Amino acid sequence: MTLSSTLLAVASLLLTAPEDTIRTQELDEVVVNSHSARQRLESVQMGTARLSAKELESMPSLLGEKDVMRSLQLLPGVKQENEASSGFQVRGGTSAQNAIVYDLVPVYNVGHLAGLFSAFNSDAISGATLYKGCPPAQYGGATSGVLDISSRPGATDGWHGGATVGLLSAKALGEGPLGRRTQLLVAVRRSYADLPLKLVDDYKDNTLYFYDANARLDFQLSQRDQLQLSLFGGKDHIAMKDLASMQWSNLAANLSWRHHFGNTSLTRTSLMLSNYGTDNAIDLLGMNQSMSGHIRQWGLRQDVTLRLGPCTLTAGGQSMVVDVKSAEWQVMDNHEKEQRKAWENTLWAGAELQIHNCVTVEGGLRFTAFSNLGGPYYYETNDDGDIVWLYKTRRNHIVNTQFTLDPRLSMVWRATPLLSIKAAYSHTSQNIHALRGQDMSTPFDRYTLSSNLLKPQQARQVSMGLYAMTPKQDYVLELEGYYRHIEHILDYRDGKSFGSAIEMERLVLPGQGRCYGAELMVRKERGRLTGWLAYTLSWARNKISGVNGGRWYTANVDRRHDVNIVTMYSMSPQWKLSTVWMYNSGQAFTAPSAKYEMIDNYVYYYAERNGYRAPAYHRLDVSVSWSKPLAHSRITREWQFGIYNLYNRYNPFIISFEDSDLGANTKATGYSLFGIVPSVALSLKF
Amino acid sequence: MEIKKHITIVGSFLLLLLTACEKEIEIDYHSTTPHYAAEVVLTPDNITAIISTTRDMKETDRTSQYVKDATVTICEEGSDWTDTLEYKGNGRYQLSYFAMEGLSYAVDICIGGQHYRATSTMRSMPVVSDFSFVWQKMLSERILFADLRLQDDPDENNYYFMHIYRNGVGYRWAVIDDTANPGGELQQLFSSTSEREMEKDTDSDVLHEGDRIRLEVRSIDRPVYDFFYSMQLMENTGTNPMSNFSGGMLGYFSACQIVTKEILFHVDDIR
Repeated sequence: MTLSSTLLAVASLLLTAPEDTIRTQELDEVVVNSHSARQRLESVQMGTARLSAKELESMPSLLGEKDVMRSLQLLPGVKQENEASSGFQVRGGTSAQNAIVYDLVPVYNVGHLAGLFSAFNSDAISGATLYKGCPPAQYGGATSGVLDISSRPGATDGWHGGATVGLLSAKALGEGPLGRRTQLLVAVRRSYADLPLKLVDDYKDNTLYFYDANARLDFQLSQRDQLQLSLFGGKDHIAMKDLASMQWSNLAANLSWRHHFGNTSLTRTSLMLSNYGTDNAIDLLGMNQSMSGHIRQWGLRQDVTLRLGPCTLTAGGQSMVVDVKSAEWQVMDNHEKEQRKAWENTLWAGAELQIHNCVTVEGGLRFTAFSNLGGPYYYETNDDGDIVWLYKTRRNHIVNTQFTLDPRLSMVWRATPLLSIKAAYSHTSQNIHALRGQDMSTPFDRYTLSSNLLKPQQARQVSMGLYAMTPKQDYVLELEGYYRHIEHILDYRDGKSFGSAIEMERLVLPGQGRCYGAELMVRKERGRLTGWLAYTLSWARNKISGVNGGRWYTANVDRRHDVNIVTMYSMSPQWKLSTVWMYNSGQAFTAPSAKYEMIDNYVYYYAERNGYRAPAYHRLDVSVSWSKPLAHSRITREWQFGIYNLYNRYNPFIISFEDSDLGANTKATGYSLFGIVPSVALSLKF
Repeated sequence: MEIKKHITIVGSFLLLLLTACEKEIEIDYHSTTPHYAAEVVLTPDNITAIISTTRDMKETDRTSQYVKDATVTICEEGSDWTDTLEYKGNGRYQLSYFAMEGLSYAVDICIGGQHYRATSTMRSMPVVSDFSFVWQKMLSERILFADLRLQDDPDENNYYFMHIYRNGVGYRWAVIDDTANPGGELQQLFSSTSEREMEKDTDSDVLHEGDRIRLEVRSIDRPVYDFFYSMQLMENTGTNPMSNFSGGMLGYFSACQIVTKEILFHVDDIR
C-alpha cells in the first residue's frame, strides 16, 4: 500500500507541476565545493575521500578510459583487490565488506571484462564519495567502506554531447534540456574487443563484450519540487561457442522526488530497484553444467534534512525487500537451488552541531530490523556443517528477525584556521554476505543473507586524524590512524569451496577480525603541477574457530605498505601529462611449508594460512592528453595517449607451485597479467 | 561439485590467453615440525599402509621420510580380533587380509606410543562402462581429454576415486560423487595436454604413442571422498586435506573395491 500510494502521489505531482526555476545542479555543486582543502579540513567527516568529475578527468587513463574505481584505489587506505579487478579493499576489509551505491541503489561486482574496466562510465557521473571510517547515519550495509556514486544531471544551457573511441571500447553521451523544466542525460558504452575476433576463423563464433548505459531525467515540478529518474544498466558476456559462457549484469533504478522547504531543508522520497545477476554455463564433451545467482532489492526510502541555525538534522527510513539466490546449478541431472528472501527495515537519525567556534560534533544512530522471509527451507547444522534439522516455512512469513543498532560519533577541533584534529567512532552492520571463489571478485561469487545461522557482521572502528594546510592552500597534509574490530566475519571451512554445497551456511565458519593502521596524504592542490603522495601502513588479522587451529592469522588482504604517487601537470592549455606510480609491499598468501607423498603425488602441507608474502607490486602509468577546439566549430577534440606499466614490470597475479617428478625442487611460478600496455583514444565533445 | 573443476579448466585456459608472462619466484619456505602421513588401502584380499613424515620444501632426500618403526593393526569394527601388518621396507606395511563388502574396518597406527585411528566401510565394486581419449576444440587449440564413464549403483549414495597411471606412474586423478546422475551413467573428464604441445613434445604431460595407460577406479566411502575432494581443492583453498585419522595424522584409510582397465595410447584411437 505504501509503495502504490507513493507512486500515485508522484504521478499526480507530475501532472500538476507548475513551471519554475531549475535546481538540479545542486548535487554537482556540492561535490565540487566540498572537495576544497578548507572544506576537508573543517568538515566533521573523517576517513572520507571525494573524487569529483573534474579530478577524474585529469587522472591517467587505462586503455583510454578514465576509471573511477581505479582512481579511488590511489587514495590512502584504499587498495586495489588485484590487477585484474575493479574491486577495492578499505582499511583491511575485503571488497565483499564494501557497499557500492549508485544514486543510493546498491550495485555489485562493478567490473567489466574481468575487472579491466569499472562498470561506471566516468562521463555520466558527477562524483564519488568513499567513506572509509565513520559514514553518516544514512549509510549502512557495509562493515568496511561505503562508496556513494552520484549520477550527473543533464546540461541546462543547451544540448551537448561527445563520443570517445578507444582501443577496446567506445562511448557516447548526449545531454540537454527538454523544454524549460526537463533535462536529460544519456550515456552508452560498449566494448568491441569481439570485433577483431570476427576476422579470425577460429575465434569468430566466440563472444567477448560488455555494454553499459546511464540515463538521468530531471523534471522540475515546481519551485520547490523536483523529480529525478536515474537508470544504470550494464552487462558482460564472455563465451566460447558451444563450450562455455559467462554473463553478469547490473541494473539500478531510482525514481526520487525532492521537496525543498524553508531555505535549506529538503525531503527526498526514493523508489529503488537493484538487480544483479550472473549466469554461467559449460558444455564440455557432453557434460552440461550451469550456475546462476542473483541479488534483487526493491523498496522505498525517505530522507529528511533540516537545517536549523548551526545544527543540521538528518533522518530517514528505508524498507527494502532483498531476494538473494546464492546459487542455482544444474550438473547433468542434478538440479539444486538456494534462494532466500528478507525484509530489511531501517531508521536513522543524525545531527551535526557546531558547539563552539572551533568544535563541531556529528552524531548518528542507525537501527535495522532484518527479517528472513519464509518459503525455502531453513535448517540447523552440526559442528561439521552437516544438516541435522530442516524447517519448512510459510511463504513470505517472517521466520527470524535480527536487530542491529549502529551509533556513530565524530568530532572536529579546528585548532587554527590551518590545522584541525578529528576523532570518530562508528558502528556498522552488514546483512548481505559474499564469499569469493578466489581472492577477488568474480561472477562466481556467492551471496547469502544473515539468517538463523549467520549473524550480521558488525564492525566497531575508532579513528583519529590531523589535517593541516599552508596559508594559500597550496599544500595539504592529512594523517589518520584507525583501529577496527569486526565480529561475525565469514571464511571457508577447511577443505570447502564455493561449489562444495548448495547451502552456503554449511561452507563457512564465523569469527572475528581486527585491522589497524595509519594513512598519510600529502597533496599539492594548486599550480600547474598538482597531485598527491599517499602512504598506507596497515595490518589485518582474523580469528575463526576451526580455521588455522583457531589461532589469529593474517588476513589475505593484509599488506604492510602501500605508496601511490600521482602527478598531474598542465604543460599548456592543450597538453596535460599525468603519471601514477604505485608500490605495494607483498600481499599475504598461503604457501606450503612442507610436503608428503600420497597416491603417487606430492601433497603440500600448509602450516599456516596466509603466512607468506608475494613479491612487491609496483608499476608506473603515464598518460598524455591533447585537446583543442576545432576551428569554426563548437567541437573540441581530445587525444589521449597512455602507457600502462611503463617499465614493463611483471607483477605476479597468480603464484602456483610445482614439483618435479621426483618431488624435489619445488618451483614457485608467478604468472603476471599485463606487461607494458599502450593505449590511445580520441574524444570529440560539443 | 564438478562444476568447480570444469570452471577451473576453462578458466585456466582463458587466463593463459590473458597472462603476459610467467617467472620463477624465490620463496623462503618456513620450516615446520614434521608430521606423520599415512596412506592405508584395504581391498577384499589385502591391506597396504605407507607411512612417512612430511619433509621441508627444499629437502631432496627421499629415504629420510619413511617411518619403519610403526605398529599397524587392523580389525573389523566391533571385533576384538586384530591383525598386525608386516613391515616390508620403504615405509610400506602389508598383510593379506579378507575383507567383505558392507563391513567397516578400523586401522590403528602406533608410533612412539601415540595412536592414530581411522575407520572405513567397504563399498560395492565400481562398474566402468567406457574409457577413451577425445579431442575438444577450444578456440584455435585442440585439447586432449580422457573420458571416463561409470555406471552408478542405484541403491545408495556412491563416491568414486579414479586414478590414471602412465607407464606405471600416477598421471591424473579425480574424485566424484553420484549426485550428477544417481543410479545412471556418471562422466569424468581428465584434461591432458594440447595437440600443439604433443607436436612440440616439450611438456612432461604429453602422452606418447604406445604409452601404457592404466585406469584404477575405487568405490570409496564419504570420509575418504571428503579427503580426496579437499585434496582436489587444496591449491585454491590453501588448506590441508581432511584426514579421516584421529590424532593429527595426515592422509587416509580407505576400505574399497578397485576395478582396473589398461589400454595402450594410440593417437589414431582418439575420438
